[in-house]
Amino acid sequence: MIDMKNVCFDYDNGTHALHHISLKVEDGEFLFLVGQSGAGKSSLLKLITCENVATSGSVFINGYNLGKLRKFEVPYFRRTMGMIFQDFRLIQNMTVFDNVAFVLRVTNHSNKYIKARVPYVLDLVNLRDEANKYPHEMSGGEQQRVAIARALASGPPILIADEPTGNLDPALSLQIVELLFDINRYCGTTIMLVTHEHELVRHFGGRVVSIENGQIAFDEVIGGQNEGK
Amino acid sequence: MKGSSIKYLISEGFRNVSNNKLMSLASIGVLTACLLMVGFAVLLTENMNSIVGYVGEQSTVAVFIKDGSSQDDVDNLIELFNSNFSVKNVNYISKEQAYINYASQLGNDAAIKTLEEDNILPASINIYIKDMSRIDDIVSVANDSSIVESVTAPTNIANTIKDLNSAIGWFGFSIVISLILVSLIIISNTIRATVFARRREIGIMKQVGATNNFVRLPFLIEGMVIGLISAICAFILTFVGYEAVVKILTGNTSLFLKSMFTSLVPFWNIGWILAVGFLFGGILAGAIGSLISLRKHLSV
Repeated sequence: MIDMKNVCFDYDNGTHALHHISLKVEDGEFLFLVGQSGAGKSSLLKLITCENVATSGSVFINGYNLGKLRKFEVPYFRRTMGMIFQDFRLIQNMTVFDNVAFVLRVTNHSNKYIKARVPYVLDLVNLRDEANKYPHEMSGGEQQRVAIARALASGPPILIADEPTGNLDPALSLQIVELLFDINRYCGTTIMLVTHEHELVRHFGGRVVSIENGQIAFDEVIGGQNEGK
Repeated sequence: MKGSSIKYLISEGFRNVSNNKLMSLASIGVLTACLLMVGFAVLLTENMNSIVGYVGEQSTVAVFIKDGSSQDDVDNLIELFNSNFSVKNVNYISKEQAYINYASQLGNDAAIKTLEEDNILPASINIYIKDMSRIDDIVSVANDSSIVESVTAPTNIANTIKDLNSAIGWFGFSIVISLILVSLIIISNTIRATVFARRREIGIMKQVGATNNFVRLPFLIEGMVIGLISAICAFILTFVGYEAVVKILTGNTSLFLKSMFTSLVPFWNIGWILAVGFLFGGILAGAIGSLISLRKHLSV
């Protein structure tokens, strides 16, 4: 669960990035976070991933109070969420299998568990037969699916997708968001999808939070393909 | 961290060396060159010391004994010199021995015959000195003795050798220290470039929840492997290079230079110290270089 109360964030140079943001995302929810470039989406995400700390207000995620999180606790907090990025962020000299397994190695899982778990998550994203390929041998859509598999590998309760379709064509974008909806539906994973593609949001529908000038301008459920599912 | 994780991270460290061939080669090249320079500076200093020591050993202090001095007094004086730590060896030459030596040098002519009847050559003590810088102490001990007629000592050579020793000591020390400092700067910059090229990878690791130690260990192992390879390369090159130089110097020179160059330090006299120094230096430089360069990128 994500619970932000009255959060403000100012950069060191004095820029006021976020003003009194209050946002609650319940377990198992799927939420679109939309906004123009510079609206404050990235600043909000950096608070959620603990890259920055709120100037005021409180941020609670998965039982962690991020305002009081000590430096050595940050990696352990990050293990409770999966991250997907626009540029996939796969380690290029590792195979698909190793990229996904890496998250499990970080969390000290045994080799036996890794050998069983990785094929399972690769199966979820339809990439079981690509395990020995390297990222540069795959298409953008496939690489993003590897990134999704990696995010799912340790079974995190929350998945944050930062513009996951930014580098993909419209057809692939639909497939990726569809896949994320399936994960939300069948695995119960809470998903926050950050995007500036309004078409995509209108197509799928659901809860949409819009940020403008560092404030929440809109927080409603809109109609679409997934409304009421 | 579990055993399986440590095993994985160590194997990753080794794998990274071959995965990042170009950067690894660059680091190995730079580190080898630095170790080579330090190694040759050490060898040069050692050999200069050895040659100067050899020249010093050729000089002796000659103490001439007054005629009529008792053998007990002479023995006491010899004992006094022998107990001095700066003295390597003491050699007593009696009046008779002095005559024999003189005669063998000049041949057996009439003048020598006269000398045999009336031996005016004095008995003497030749003192071979270990530490030429202490020659004044030995001369003053001799001059204080009532049975000593006169003393001849190569004080000029001693002063020159003392100055040379001190200069070589400082030269060697400063050149080795400067080379180590320059090497550390070059090594840390090379490794920094390696780490910078992989900052994205480090960022990804941190974002998926890797602890700093989890990120550090493969880089640490990688740095140590690079250090180890560099140390081995530098040692082999130093050995081959040194042996070649010694062969040239001792092979085709004048008799004097040849005899002087025989005092060159054999490689294996300091080879093991160099090997241990290279190993520690190389591995430490690789490891510290990696850790310092990583620090900045871990704050994601």
